[in-house]
This record gives sequence, C-alpha cells and structure tokens, in this order.
Amino acid sequence: MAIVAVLWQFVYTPNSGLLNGFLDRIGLSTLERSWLAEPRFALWCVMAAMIWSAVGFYVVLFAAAIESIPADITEAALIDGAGPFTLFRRITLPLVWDSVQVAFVYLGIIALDGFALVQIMTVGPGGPDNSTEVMGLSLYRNAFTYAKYGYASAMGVALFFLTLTLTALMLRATRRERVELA
Amino acid sequence: MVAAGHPRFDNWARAWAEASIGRYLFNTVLVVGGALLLTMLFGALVAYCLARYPFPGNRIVYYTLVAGMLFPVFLALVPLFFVVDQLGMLGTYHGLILVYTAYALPFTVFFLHAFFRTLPTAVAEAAFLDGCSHAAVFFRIMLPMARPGLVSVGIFNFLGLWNQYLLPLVLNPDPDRYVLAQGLAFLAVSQGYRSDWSGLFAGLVIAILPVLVAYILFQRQIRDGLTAGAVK
Repeated sequence: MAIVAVLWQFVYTPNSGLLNGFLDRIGLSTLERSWLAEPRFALWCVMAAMIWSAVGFYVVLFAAAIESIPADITEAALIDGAGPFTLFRRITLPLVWDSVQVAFVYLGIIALDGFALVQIMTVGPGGPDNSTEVMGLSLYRNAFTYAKYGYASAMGVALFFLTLTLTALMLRATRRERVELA
Repeated sequence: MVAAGHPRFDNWARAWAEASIGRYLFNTVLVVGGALLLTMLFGALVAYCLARYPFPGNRIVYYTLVAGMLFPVFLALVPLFFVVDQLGMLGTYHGLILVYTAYALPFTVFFLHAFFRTLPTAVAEAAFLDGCSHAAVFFRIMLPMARPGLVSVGIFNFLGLWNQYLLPLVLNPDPDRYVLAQGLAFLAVSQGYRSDWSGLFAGLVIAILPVLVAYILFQRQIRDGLTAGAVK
C-alpha cells in the first residue's frame, strides 16, 4: 500500500507527473492541474489510486468463484437461448453472490482504513483544507502528534463499531435467497 | 516530456547505498522472516490441536482466535503502542516480530484449521498404532501432509506482512530500523524538493521485486489463500 501511494503520488505530480504529461500529449493541456493540491479533486485522486490497487484482488476472487460454477449449468442456459448478458445476470451473478457479499464486507473495511494512501499521498497529510482527512488519519494524529491517547482510543472503538454496523448492514442489504447447485 | 535514455544502473547503487534502501531491505527481511517463522510454527501447532483433539473449551479457543480477524488494527492501535512501549520493545526487531506474529496468527489458524480437517485420519491412526508419540505424529506425519496449505498461508502472510505500513509506522520510530514501506514513504516525503527521483524509483523497484517474484512463483497458492473461506 505504501508503494502504491508513493507511485500514485508521482502520477499526480503537477509538472512532470504521468497524468499531466499524458493530458499534455493528447492536447488536453487545459485540463492539467495540481491534482492533489486542489480540495475539489484530492479525495477523488486518492480514491482512484485505492480502486486501482483493489481491483486486482477482486478479479482473482471473482474469477475463482466463476470458475467453480459447473459448466453444465451455463451450457443449459445457453441452450435455452440465454444471451451473454442474461447469462451473467441470471446465472453467473446469483451463483457467485456469496463472494460478492464477502467483497462488499472486505471493501467496506478497506475503505474505512484509507490511512496509508492518504497519509503518504496528500499534502498535510489530510489536506488541502482537510478535504482528504479520513478517520484513521485523525486517530493517528490525535494519538501520536497531539498525545491525546484516551481520545484516540475512543475513536478506535467508535471506528470498530462503525465497521461492525456497516458490515451487518451490508450483509443485510445484499442478502438474497440462497441458490443451491442442484 | 523527455524520452527515456539508456538504462543507468548507478541509480540502483545510489538507492542501495546512499538512500539506505539496502538497510531497509535487511530490516524488512529480518522482521518479516522472523514473524513468518513464528507464525507458521505457532499457527500450525494451534490449528492442529484445535482441529484434531476434541477437549472442553476447544471451540472457545478457536473462536477467540478467529475473532482476531474481525478487529481492525485501529481499534487496538493506541493500547498496542503502550503495551509495546512498556515492555521496552518500541523500535526493536523482536518487538515488531512479536506484533506481526500476533497480527498474522488468526488468519493462519483459521486457514490451517480448515486444512487439517480435510486430511485423512487413517494415516495418523496408523502412525499411533506403530507407536508414534503425539509430537512425532504432528511433525513427521501431519506437517508434511499439510505442506500445500502451509505454503499457501505462508505466502499469503509474507505478502501481507511485507506491505505492512501502519504497524511499523507506530511501533518502529527508529530510522535505522525502518522497514521498506516506511523507508520509501519517508524518502518520498523528505525528498520532495531535493528530487533524486531516479534513486527513489530504483528503491521502489527493489521493494516490489520480492513481492513480484513471490506472485509469479506461487500464483496458485496465493489464489487458494485469497479465496479461502470466501469461495466454496
């Protein structure tokens, strides 16, 4: 995560960064900006890096899940005249729904802990203008910069219950009827 | 933008020596290696006992351990800092190794517990009949049989611990003992204006290489580790 953060910091560098260089090359230099220095964009930039670094894991996870679907089920659906889109929506997705649920939970936990990215990438860190302040960063700063240990511990407990609530809610909201492979 | 010139390896040398990437790498290998060794030893022992020997309180121990996966590091961050501090282990190798081990154990036990359950009981029984002690059955029969599982979870732990950033940031304030992730972040931040970027990037490559090699060599096992418990 730390390496990802350092690399993406260089993608967003104003003068020689990859993103601005690319925009320059394709003639969109009007879109160039100091990505991490503008409150309106900084958080989105961090999110882009976070999404990029998480996608690979879920590709592997879902690929493994999809692979474990018996071939005869997909075949039967194809013979019954299902197009690729219907096949995905009606067969593949319901059968891998368990994995999707797990992914939601994992992602929720990761999202609550954007600490490494924000701490390394953003100015301040947490800036500009507090636009990228995340809970983990607040906690860390209160504990180890301001030495408000009790306050930071309380934040940790609150964060834990928030995670727990969110997890329960997500499991609840994404609950479907269980599909059994016949 | 300037097109790339010919490759220059002096960047690597500079990263290694001047930017102390070599030192960070040594620290990381030492800490992650030690933690991995302890995790696998304790994890395998605990998982084996829990999976194979029914005793009162078995389930309680198991769920207590597995519950560790549920807690985010942030919950215990501040208390953890004080525990390590009062034990006098702040910024030491063994302190970090112990914390890493504790951090990696729940998943290891969870994974290996499931794995030991799938192994046939007949082989162990045959060994017992032949007069093997409990310890010998574990080390000479069960552990070799569990090797695929051990490799999977070992690799998975290696990747997780190698990339650990928050724990060393809090528990390892001594710049001489920085691990790679910490050191690179420190370099990236502190170099802002001095801009020895080629050196920094050489350092990044050095940090990524072991992980990349592990991924390429152990793709299958990593996938098994990633999807354990998530995919039926």
